[in-house]
Amino acid sequence: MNRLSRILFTVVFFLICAGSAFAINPDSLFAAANKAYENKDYPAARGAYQKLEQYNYISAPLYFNIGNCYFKEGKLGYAILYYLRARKLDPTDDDIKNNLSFVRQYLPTNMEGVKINPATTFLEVITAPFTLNGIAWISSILFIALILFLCAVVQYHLRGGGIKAMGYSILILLLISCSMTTFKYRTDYLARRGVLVAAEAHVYSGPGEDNDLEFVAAQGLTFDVEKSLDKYYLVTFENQRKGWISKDDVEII
Amino acid sequence: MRRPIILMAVALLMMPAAILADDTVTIQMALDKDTISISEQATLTITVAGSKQNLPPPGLPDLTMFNVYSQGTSTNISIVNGSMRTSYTYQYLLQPKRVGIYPIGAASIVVDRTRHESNGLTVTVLNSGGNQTTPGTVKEEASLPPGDKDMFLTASIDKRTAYVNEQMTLHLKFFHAVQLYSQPEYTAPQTTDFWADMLEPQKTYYQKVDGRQYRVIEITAALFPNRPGDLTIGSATITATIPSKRGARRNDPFSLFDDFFTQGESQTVRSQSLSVKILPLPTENKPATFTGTVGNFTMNASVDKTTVDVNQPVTVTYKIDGTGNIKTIAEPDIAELTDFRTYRASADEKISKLNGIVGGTKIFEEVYIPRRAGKLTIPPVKLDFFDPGTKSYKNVASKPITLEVKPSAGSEYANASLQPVAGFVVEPNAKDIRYIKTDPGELGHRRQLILFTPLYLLLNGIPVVALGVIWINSKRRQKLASDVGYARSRMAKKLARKHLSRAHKLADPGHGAEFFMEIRRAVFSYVADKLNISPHGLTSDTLVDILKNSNLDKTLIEKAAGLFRKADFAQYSSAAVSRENIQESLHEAEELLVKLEETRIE
Repeated sequence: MNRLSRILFTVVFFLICAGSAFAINPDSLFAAANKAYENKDYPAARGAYQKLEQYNYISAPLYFNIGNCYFKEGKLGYAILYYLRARKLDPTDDDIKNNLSFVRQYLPTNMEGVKINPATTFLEVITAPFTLNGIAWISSILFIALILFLCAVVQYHLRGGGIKAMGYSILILLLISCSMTTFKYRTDYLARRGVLVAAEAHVYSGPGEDNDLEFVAAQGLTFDVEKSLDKYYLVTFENQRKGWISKDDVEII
Repeated sequence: MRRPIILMAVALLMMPAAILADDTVTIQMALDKDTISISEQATLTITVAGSKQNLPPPGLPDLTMFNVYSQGTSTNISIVNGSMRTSYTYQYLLQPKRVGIYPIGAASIVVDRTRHESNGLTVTVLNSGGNQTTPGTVKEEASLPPGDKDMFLTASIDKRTAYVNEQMTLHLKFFHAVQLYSQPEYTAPQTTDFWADMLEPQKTYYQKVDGRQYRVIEITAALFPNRPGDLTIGSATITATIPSKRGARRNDPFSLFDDFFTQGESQTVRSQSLSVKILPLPTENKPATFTGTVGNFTMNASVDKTTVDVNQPVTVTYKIDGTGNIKTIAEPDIAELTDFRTYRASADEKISKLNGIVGGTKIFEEVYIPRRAGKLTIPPVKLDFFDPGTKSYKNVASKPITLEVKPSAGSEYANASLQPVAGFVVEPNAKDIRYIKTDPGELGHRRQLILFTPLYLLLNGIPVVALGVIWINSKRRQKLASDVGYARSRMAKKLARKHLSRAHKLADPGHGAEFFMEIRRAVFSYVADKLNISPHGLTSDTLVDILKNSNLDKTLIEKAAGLFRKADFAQYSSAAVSRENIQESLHEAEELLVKLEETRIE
């Protein structure tokens, strides 16, 4: 073994050892965070949960627990942010829905004159229990079922009212599930949604403090990000009011 | 019910009469001061009031012992108890000519042939000497230039030494002894190192300088130096148009009309700049929480309610009163409290400039939200300031405020009122958020969106392909079933190959006749199927004609004709067929069918 090989081996060995030393056990860290929460040491619990997040671990319970910590620390904006992240992963979880609703009661302001599109509201309600992957699989299954049904019809020359009704039923279900998938994809992935996490934030008519102040928004409000420019986002709040807001005051869900 | 209506009607009918009824005319005379020095002036005000408009101006009493200057007229119309009155106020500046006690007779006015007279007054003129100065604060007057100037501008300051942020009062006086043809244009002095504020509207009065009478316009401003050091207050300038001094044409008899036609000449006068020494605030005994407030202040605090629920806000108003630069008073420092969450609600200020001293009130509103129940105390809030009067640091503090906070059950947010939020339902008895999840769930890395993965696309693509295949096959079968010619054409090759296969099995000299029968069937049935005609009526010659019409190679046609002849010979003669002949014929038949496959038979 020449000198270069020995050096290379030493470096690789050191890296392996270092990697082992810094490797974490997600389950034990999660349990430690739970213990800290139990002891009402909410900042410590949140720190441990977020350590997992730093290692790219995600799960609905993890986000839910971080949201709980933030709420206990009085940071309502961040609590809303993490509950929404948790809901994205598990839309059917009752605890997430409950805590999200509970925390929203304490938001300092409710948007006045909120005009939500009824069609959008309807789609939000019916797609709420599904994840995008879940509803995509349902659409896929319905599509395959329709194709197989058509194959059978063609191959075996199936005719009759019952067959036609079955075909239309599968087709309608498929159209509904495709619409839901499209809506979910648009709202969950194409649209960038954010939460105001600062106690309050100034919303300007342009990207900078030298523009006119349009209004002051309070923590916990959610919005769609329309555009990003330097340190500002152009956002649309739920009441359709638009404005530029500093990126320091918000987090993307 | 009827009585009030009648009363109202009567009142409405009476209203014009009431307005017209009060036709008394009053005339009153007043002096702003009845004792003045010989160098001072007094302002005589004559007020004429009556129900009529356009009342004539009053006739002045004998004022020969004074120089009288009109200061203008103002009109006021008022309606009191349905009666309209118009009052005219005439102001005159009286400049005494000599010392003495002078009675001023009544002013008078004649309205509707009736003479109305005012009260009489008395003015005492003392021989006190000296120039008139602004009372109070001006200690240091700049030396006045000799009285041979038509106009000049002076600047003076009440103190030459002050602390940072301590008030200094600047007086600017514009003297002019001649008529001004234009409105004076004023340029304020440079006060870069000062925060400046005009104290009061400009004052106008008359003053003698070196025996010459000047009209004086005085501007007063408060200056608050914002840094220590030797600072300079710049010069102010005033530009005005005054009568030209060209006296060469005084002998001209028409010079009398000069004043009517001349435009005058523009002159600019400049005040002297002033140097002041600004002292830094002493470091000795300076409180750690001192934020630079200078003046003299008091502070008190009030609360909007003393009994409150947990998490319900109470607003404490801190009011700071006093003299000094109110605008620079910093927000009181409110420490982090364990029992309260706090945030600033608002700040407001009201500036007063009483007697040339800047002061006022600054109000801070602080919201306290109790975190827990019990008897909680909001601690005093302290304000440190430097008092330039005593040259020492002082502080004022609010009194502690005790709150009765109602007990809570549950979390820190437990007693907050529940408000319904659209789209969300909370259990009506919920007091706190639901507890954390002890199971981490499927703790993993971020999952890929399934929609555009190859697996998802393949899974959805395969059935589509299958459907396509099935559909095409079905269509083909349908055509085969419905179109005999198409079916025969599609099956021609298969059938011909079947016959050739049989011929191959019979390729033996012992089965020469059967062999050639199969060869003949293979070719004849192929052509017949392709043309959708019956093979039974086909002869060798007919077939050769068909092949000729199909643009086949002549050599091949000749080979085919030879093959057909050999087949006919073998079928209809008893002569033996050699093995070579059989093999050659089989080869020719195969070649012919291949060529026919490549050719469109017509």
